[in-house]
Amino acid sequence: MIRWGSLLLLVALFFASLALGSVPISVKDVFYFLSGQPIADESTQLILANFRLPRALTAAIAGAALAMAGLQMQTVFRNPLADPYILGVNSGASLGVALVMLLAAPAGHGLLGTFASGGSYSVVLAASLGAGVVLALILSLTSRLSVMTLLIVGLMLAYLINAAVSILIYFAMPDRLQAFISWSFGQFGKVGWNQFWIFLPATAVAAALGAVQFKSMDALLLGDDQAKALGENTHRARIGILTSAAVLAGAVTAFCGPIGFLGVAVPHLSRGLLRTQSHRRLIPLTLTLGASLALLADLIARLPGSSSALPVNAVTALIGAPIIIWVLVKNRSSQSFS
Amino acid sequence: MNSPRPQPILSARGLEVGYGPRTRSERKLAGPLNLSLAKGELVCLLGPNGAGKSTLLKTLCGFLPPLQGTIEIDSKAINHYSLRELARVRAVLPSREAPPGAMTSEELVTLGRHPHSNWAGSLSDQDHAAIDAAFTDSGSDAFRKRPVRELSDGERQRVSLARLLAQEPQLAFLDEPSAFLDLPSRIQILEKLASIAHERQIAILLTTHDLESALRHADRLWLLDAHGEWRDAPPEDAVLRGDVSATFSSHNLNFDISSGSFTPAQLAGNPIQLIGAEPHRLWTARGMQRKGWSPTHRDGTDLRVEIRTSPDEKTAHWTVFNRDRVTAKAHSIQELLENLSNDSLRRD
Repeated sequence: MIRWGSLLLLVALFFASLALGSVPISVKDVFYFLSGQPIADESTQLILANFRLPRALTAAIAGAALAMAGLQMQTVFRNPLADPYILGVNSGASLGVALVMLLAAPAGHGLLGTFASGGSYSVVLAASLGAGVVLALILSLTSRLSVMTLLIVGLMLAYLINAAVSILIYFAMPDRLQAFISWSFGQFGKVGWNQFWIFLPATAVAAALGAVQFKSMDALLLGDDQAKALGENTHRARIGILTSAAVLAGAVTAFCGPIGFLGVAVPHLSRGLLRTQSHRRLIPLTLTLGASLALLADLIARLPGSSSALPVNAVTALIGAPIIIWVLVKNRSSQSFS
Repeated sequence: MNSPRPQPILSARGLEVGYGPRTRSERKLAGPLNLSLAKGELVCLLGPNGAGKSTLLKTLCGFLPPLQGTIEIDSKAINHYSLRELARVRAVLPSREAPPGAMTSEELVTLGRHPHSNWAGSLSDQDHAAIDAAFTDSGSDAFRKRPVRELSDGERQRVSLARLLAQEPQLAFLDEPSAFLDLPSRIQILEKLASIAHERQIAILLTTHDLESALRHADRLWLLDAHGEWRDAPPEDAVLRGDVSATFSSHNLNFDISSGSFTPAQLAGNPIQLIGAEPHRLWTARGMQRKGWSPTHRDGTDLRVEIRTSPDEKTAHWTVFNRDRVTAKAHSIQELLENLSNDSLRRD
């Protein structure tokens, strides 16, 4: 029942985020549009095709990806506070973006126009590279370090990289800074179709790679030694799961900015609702709930009606935190790790 | 040393265990050992802290490589097994398994099927049968649906045992299964393990500090002392031959062969003759020892205590004699000890 309910919620929110916005569009038109029938008003068609649809799809995919990555990190590190960014992947992405936005332009590369758009290829490329370097570094260490040490190394790496970003910010020109800060608030609206066709396969492949490892994730819940005693190749499982999680988190950060909260909160929500630790059941719900919450957050962020939206990061926490607190207080069994 | 046992499921030759194999920091804890485990027997590995019990257990589990020697499971070298193959024949239970608190007993026990189920983890009829049998044999059927967080330590240990049994191993290793349990659960778990070993015909090796339960339920004891000295015998032989006392020997603890338990080494206390029927004599003697007396059966001491027990053994009274003269009477051991500690009676 929860599964069907969450799917229904996702569909409803998807429709809502196509229909609602600065220019309201009727549900009938949305329905026509989605079923491929012509809409009388050409501008409505244009808004839906070029802005609303990619934005809604991006939000849904980003939310699902972050929720999945959060679940993976919480399981691998057996830590309820782990989030998709715990290994410093998004710090790497931030540094990449900061280098491009804050440093490259003043150095006279003359790419000012593209930077202003925030979601440009150069930003995506820089973020992906930054995330990729951190991921490679972490993966090269997984074989040598225990899970707990890895967690601390990731944390230290994040501090280190953030310090570099701070220095870049300190010396940045005000208008570059404005662009960087607006990137760091997170947004789903800057991903055009061209970028979407990179974003979608990257996250889909990573999510699929992660999802097929649900059985290994169940075993990892007992800790490294016990998982091994149960016949799990923990080293291989960890590399697979962490790669999947880091690519998911890195891709979202690259395309939408560092979007917080969803990743840490949604796994708790699904565990609380399903009252299970079985990843075979948790993963589908986590994906759909993540997508739904991201759509809801984006809807609320756009609600003021003006053309500019609220920072997604603020909204995810504003709507998400009360939900999580309510679930935790109401339902003790969602205290999953203790 | 021992008569040949049928079907050794595990055997080790020239085994040396320790840390840091083939490095400069190599540290040998025990060995070379020749040992074997047969199907259907419960073996308890005992020894003082730091003797290397856990290291030996981890090595036999396949978690640590041996410094020297070979380990064979079912006549096949342990390093020729894949993790999954190994998990189908041997199961391991740490002293405290740490599943997430919200995990239900059933989910935990189902994890025992991990090495048997396919990539999708779907359960066959055989898997379900193994899980049901595991719940029944471990006596944890009643809390099948409950989250492990809500279970007591004893119940939790039984669920973990079910998890181990669901794995259907031929060889099970348990690290101090009774460490966090109260006395009744401690006795029950060993009793249960012994019957499981016999009924399921699996070899069980466990480490424990609970000597009394081990003496009662183990088919064999493995004793590893602080100097890496190794002894292997059925508990009764181990006691009578002095193996147990030798393993735990220390200057302030003695193993009392007649009671099968440890007593503080006799500090040269004041000799006192103690006469009476058991069980009162035993407990009177213990109280006296605690207060620095050395109770003895022989006469030749100035002081003598006689215990008179009522026919139903419910009540008793104690009479203290000094050179055959009654000096005190008591109706409880407390009263007796208070009388004895009276300075006028003590001669030191």
